[in-house]
Amino acid sequence: MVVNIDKTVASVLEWQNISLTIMVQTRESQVERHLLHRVSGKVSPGEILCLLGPSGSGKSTLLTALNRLHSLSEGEIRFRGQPVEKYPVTELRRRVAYVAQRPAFFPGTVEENLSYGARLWGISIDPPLWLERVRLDRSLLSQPADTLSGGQQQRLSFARSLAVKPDVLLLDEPTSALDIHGARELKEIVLTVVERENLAVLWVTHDPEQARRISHRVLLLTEGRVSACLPTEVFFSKEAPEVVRTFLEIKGDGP
Amino acid sequence: MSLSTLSFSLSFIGIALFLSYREQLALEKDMLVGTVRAIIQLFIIGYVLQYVFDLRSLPGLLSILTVMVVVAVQNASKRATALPRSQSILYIAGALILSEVLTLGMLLGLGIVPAEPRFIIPFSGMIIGNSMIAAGLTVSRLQAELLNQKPLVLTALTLGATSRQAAARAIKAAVKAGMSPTIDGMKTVGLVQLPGMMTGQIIAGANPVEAVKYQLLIQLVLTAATAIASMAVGLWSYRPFFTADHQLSPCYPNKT
Ligand SMILES: Nc1ncnc2c1ncn2[C@@H]1O[C@H](COP(=O)(O)OP(=O)(O)OP(=O)(O)O)[C@@H](O)[C@H]1O
Ligand SMILES: [Mg+2]
Repeated sequence: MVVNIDKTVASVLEWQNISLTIMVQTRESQVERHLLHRVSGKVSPGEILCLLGPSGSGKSTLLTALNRLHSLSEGEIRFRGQPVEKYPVTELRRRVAYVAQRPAFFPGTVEENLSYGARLWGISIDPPLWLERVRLDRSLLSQPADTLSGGQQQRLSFARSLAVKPDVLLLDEPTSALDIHGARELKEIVLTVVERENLAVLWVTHDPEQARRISHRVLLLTEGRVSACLPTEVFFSKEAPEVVRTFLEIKGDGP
Repeated sequence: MSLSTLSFSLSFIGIALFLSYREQLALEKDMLVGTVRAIIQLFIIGYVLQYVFDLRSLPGLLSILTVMVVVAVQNASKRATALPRSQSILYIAGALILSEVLTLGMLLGLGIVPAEPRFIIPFSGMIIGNSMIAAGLTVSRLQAELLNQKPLVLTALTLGATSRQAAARAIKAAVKAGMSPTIDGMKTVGLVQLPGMMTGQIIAGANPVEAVKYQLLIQLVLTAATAIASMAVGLWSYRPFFTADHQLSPCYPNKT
């Protein structure tokens, strides 16, 4: 179920030539390491851009950089056409929400966790309704958050980020810890919300098959560089460039 | 007490030395060094105090207070292992001075103790000493909590929290940790042990109830002092762990 997208809508988040370089201490000296190197891309409302790439290629780093958790060494990120520096960092993080690969919960109940961000922003939310939206039973509200199952935790984490009313969602492998049914359910929940709220989504996945089903475009990251950024039909077709086909073949043979 | 009577007290260290030797604890050297240092340091401070009391000079008083603060800052800032040295010294010195000025200021201002060196110095010693312990505990606990809570701190930041909001839990735990020895001490005081100062007063001939009044005053002053020092350290020293953009800074505590 790929959501139809109006190609004329301007991108909501756009990043140009962003690089992230860190200094790594080796035995002899400090050396530079490029976690991201001149990465560009954009995403529009209602669009799902899937991020594929080998483990360690910088997918999580790109998402956290777009959430402004790192200082860039180069490049520019624009939100609604404005450089992100024009927005207060906290406001930008609210609007460009990052949902971490491994959810972490504050000591406390499901309800307290669900409303943490909303409370920071003075947004009043109806907790039972939010649980319903992510297909969690409202009886869980008073339960300690860390007693939830892996799948329930992923959904709670997703709901917590949605509750601050973002425009862009950065999802870091939201289904990787789930079984087939859990993954499918979460995928449907996300797709429903994305369509209803007209969100722009950057979705990291290690599963090309999932990317093929849900995305409008695919960005392939290799060692911190963009090796391809193509419409999904093209990415999975015979016309795809060599790098893409090699990546997909290796993935296909893998476990 | 004459010096010769005092010298008999060295036989107590003799007992400890003998036990250490027999049980092969290998503490003899540390004990001897400790004993010699205690003797020298206490006598020096005794003579210095006598000199200052007799002199009643402000510069003399201030330099003693300065030495106290400097030594205390040295000691407490050692526990700030993740902070750049200059920053930890700055915050801890600030906290100790704030705590000393506020509590001593109230003691003098309300006329609870007379503005004379013989009162100011012992009170300051207790205030600064306890604040030092509180500050050291607070900063080391803050680092441990930030390390432990790193995923939660990041989660809070992603949801749009400021660094202060993201660090709030860690700060709270750290301030509590800094104050807990004083509060625990207050709960058991008189039951488990008689405080050294009270013991000294009673031995020196003071009426026990009179000694209790002083002790109570001190206990309350120290509670305020450690609260001020812990909170100041907690609320200031989380800052270098974050950048102005509410990101984790390079010195954010990391597993090594
Ligand atoms: N703070 C850091 N210091 C040093 N290296 C880092 C840091 N953060 C990330 N890296 C390195 O950057 C590279 C990219 O990491 P990242 O987590 O973005 O990969 P990923 O594509 O998300 O991988 P995965 O699919 O396994 O989640 C890795 O090699 C990682 O070791
Ligand atoms: Mg990752």
